Amino acid sequence: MTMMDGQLKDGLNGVIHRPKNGFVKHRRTVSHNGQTTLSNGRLEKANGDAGSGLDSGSELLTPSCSTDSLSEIVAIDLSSKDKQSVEGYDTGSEHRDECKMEDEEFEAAASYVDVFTIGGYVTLQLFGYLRDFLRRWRIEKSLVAKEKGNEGFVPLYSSWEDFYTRNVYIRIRDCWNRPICSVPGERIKLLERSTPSFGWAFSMTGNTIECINMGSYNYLGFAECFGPCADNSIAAIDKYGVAGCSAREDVGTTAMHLELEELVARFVGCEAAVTFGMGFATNSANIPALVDRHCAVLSDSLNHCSLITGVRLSGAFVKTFKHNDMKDLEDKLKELVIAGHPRTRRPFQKILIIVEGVYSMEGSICKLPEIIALKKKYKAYLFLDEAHSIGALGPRGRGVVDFFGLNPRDVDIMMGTFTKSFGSAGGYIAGSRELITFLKHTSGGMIYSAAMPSAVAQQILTSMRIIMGEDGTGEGMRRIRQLAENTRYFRAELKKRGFIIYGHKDSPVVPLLLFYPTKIATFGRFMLQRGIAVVVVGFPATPVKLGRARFCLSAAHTKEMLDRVIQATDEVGDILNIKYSRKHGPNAVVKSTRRQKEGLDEVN
Amino acid sequence: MPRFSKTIFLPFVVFPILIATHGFQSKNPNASWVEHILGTSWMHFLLEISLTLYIIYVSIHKMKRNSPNPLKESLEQLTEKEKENLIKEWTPEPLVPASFVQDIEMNEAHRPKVVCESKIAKYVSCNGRQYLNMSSYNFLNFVGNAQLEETAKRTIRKYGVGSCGPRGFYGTVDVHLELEEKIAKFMQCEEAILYSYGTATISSAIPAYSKRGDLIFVDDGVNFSIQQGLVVSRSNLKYFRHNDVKHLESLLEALRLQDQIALSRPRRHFLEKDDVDHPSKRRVFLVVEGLYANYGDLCPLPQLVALKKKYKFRIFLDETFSIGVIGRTGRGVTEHFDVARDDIDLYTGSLENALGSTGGFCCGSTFVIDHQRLSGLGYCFSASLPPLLAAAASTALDLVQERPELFDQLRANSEYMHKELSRLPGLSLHGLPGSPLKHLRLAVPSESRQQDADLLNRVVNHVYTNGSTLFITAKYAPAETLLPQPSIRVAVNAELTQSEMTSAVQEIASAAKEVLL
Repeated sequence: MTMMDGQLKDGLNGVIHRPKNGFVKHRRTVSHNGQTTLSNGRLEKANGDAGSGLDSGSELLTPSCSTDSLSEIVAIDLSSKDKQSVEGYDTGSEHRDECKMEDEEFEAAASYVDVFTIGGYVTLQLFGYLRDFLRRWRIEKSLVAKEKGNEGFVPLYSSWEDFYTRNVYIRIRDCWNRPICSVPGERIKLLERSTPSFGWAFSMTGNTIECINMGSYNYLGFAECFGPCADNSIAAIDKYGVAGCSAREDVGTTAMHLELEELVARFVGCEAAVTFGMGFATNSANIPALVDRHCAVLSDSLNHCSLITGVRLSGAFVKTFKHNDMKDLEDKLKELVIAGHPRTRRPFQKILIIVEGVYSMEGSICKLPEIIALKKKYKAYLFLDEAHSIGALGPRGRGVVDFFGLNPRDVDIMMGTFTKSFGSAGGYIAGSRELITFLKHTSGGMIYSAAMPSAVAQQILTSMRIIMGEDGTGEGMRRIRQLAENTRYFRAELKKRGFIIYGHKDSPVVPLLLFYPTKIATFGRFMLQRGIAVVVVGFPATPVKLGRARFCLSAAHTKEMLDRVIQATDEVGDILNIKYSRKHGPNAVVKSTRRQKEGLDEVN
Repeated sequence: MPRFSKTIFLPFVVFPILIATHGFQSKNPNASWVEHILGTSWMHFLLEISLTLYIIYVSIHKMKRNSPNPLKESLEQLTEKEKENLIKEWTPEPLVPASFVQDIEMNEAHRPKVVCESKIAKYVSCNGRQYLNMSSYNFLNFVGNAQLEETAKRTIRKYGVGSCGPRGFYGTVDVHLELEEKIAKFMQCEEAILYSYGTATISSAIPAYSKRGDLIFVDDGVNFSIQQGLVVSRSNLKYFRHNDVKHLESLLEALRLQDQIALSRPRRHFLEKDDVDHPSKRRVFLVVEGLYANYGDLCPLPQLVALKKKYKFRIFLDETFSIGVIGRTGRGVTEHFDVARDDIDLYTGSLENALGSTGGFCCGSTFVIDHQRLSGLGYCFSASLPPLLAAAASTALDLVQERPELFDQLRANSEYMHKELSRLPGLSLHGLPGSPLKHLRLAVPSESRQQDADLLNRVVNHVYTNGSTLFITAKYAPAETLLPQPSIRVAVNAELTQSEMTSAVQEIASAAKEVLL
């Protein structure tokens, strides 16, 4: 069965535990601090005699066991590592930081894949030129929109600017912008489109396709049209109307906004918080308020576009450091402090490090403990964007700070969005009271932009209270644990099947590497045929060689759904031959047995 | 350049010598290439070696010359200890300027801090009291409209609240497509594109088209989100005085003359590339607002269109405040001035003001708009508009078309308010009579902007504490580059009654008398 490897390894370590439902037991035991830890509620119910075969406190079984056990080569020295990573879940463990980082993986494919991927793009480019040539000489009918009027003007776009769009993107456009007609929960209804013109125009056929949704950022499953969230939001419309037609600093502030901000501050563990109606604008409107042209910004090379826009607006001096590379960060930080502004030669007034909690295209988690250490050492400020991590990471769902068990006060500016885990819209910034008062008076998002609509604010209030357990049920904790389990299970299963999966094993963003531009589209289409909605991305959203599919896990996914997705991915993976991993899965096994055989031969 | 020309002739000199010296000993024409090399003369060998050495020398020399980074060199000379000391010595400024919060709190001591406890509709209750709202952009009184609320609630039951994804990744709900179609039809354009936030619309649209090297002419009264779009685009900017067509024309004329010179200049070298801002490559745009948020007046669109045809630039028209407000049926300034729709290249509008929802949109021809679906930053990289708000906006658009009399009411109210407000003591009124957005500025401004703002805040506060009308002063961010004079911003609602307007004017008149005279 699916968990075979994991069980085998556990057997080697002397721990035999065979969960009936396929999940590895998330048992909790007594940690170093003497805190009793909890176990997963839902699974506990499934088989009640959970702990009967085990010595309490000595053996730890978590989903992590199964993940790591997949690579047989490292299976032998795993037991100690496992224990550490489990302890990481309990607040206050010392070794947590370094062992968490080891769980991140970016496996490179064989070099022939790189060569052929680039070859693929070159081929597409050549065909693009050919078709542009045919269109130019009217051999092929051109469907490219043309500008009407404005004769004699300088063209609005130069022709190379949308060469890629015209010749590559259009042909596989059906993989994106798929319209939906249901709540984006664990299942999703897509409107079927037909495109007789091969991507140039779409028309609806009127049918709907029901899919398992692996594309929406519905981490905790709060995208619901019934239940407390929806009910409260409807009540909020009755009380405060749909929108306010006014900016927060004018007359747009309602009592609900203040209540929300107070709750957000409590949730993330900061003194105060301020909320905005759009996540993108939270970054782009507030970074300019914090830094100006006398300041420097150190930005991770994979930061989100909104952060880049914000920095560009601020006019600060920018340096990017290699993704999650602490050595590079320290070098650049040192240089900025010592050398000052390279043009004016004046020392910088402030240096701001901008990182994200979970990177949405890599599935990696920022190395926050090290970043905080560096920031303290060099007296820089830290801006942490928790767009994908708030709610989705950490034992209490409070983001990457909670995940590492750090003090939120060590992060100067905590930013996050409500679009993802909370199933709503908008963003927040949390920090010290002075910072928040300052932002309220200076940020464009407070002074000019419309306030957050009532239903949207209420959705956050309700879902956040559920996560915090303030609704009096354990529903929030259940969802957080379910997401953690789903994540580890899904990642482990895909790895076991030989796919290259990027990122941290606890990150609910699961990128599956496809490399080839053609496989990106085919993967998206084949998965849709099997009733699964996934996101596929290629150049220019990713580096040229690293096209990928992305699965976003949700607490609402059941094991049956995940198994269906895994099975379908496996099928498509065989058809498309995308099981590139040489560390895990069938290819890795072949190698190690071959090595073993060779070793045996030598002995003989 | 002279160094380059010398090296380029080197091969022409050296190669004949190489070829000439090569044949000395290779007498056998059938020799393999190995024998060929072995069989070359010592003279040839020597020449080749020296040539190689020369190339290495030149390239190293050039590399050194090409990377004159004295900064890096001086850094390398520092010892570790010195570096440590420098790091220790550096003390950054606090993240938040120390006195800023105190300052601003002192400056705004008299600005009412409004926390509403009800719908921010025509009447709003805050501080336990009921106020007539003259401050929110609720021009058509759609806040609290039962139909809008009903649609929003129905949509929550079908789609939930959030859309949980950007438009590209399963965040496109059918209500978005419907609304885009509806907007395009309403605005009589080919296509519309929906953004999830009003202020992010124009600031994403401008950089989608205008890049580094392009040139944008801007009215110097444009609002903050346009200013942000201009900064992000990194284009060259030329400001003309607010609504001054003459000034714009003089700038355009100067540009035309400059371009003529640049175009007549022949290329010196066939490999020489034109700069990005060469007139043959540089795009020129004009960015104006339909109804100016900071001044309450309209742009002189017919004259601008005439200039467009003469000087060949594209017009981006920001109708954030004019959609659903200006024009016989609320279709904005093009309708008001009866300008052909196609003469404007891009319209941007907002659903946040007259339409009583949230979000923004751009519309225009498919050729123009489709580009934003991959290049509009706020479109691609942001979660889509929550379906309930899209559906509410859709209903609002229906209402606008069903009830054209709203615009007559709005115009009548605006004109009435204009007449009344222009008689206030100590204050001068800015804005057109027909515009529902008005600014009251001090008739005799003092030297200090701060003092003026404080006076106006006192007027507003006087009404807030003693009266039952909610007025507010316009607030500007410190990052604002085009700061207008401080003002009390008055927004007129279409469904205000005569008596309500009279009492509002009376209250602010008595406050102005009290504070200013």
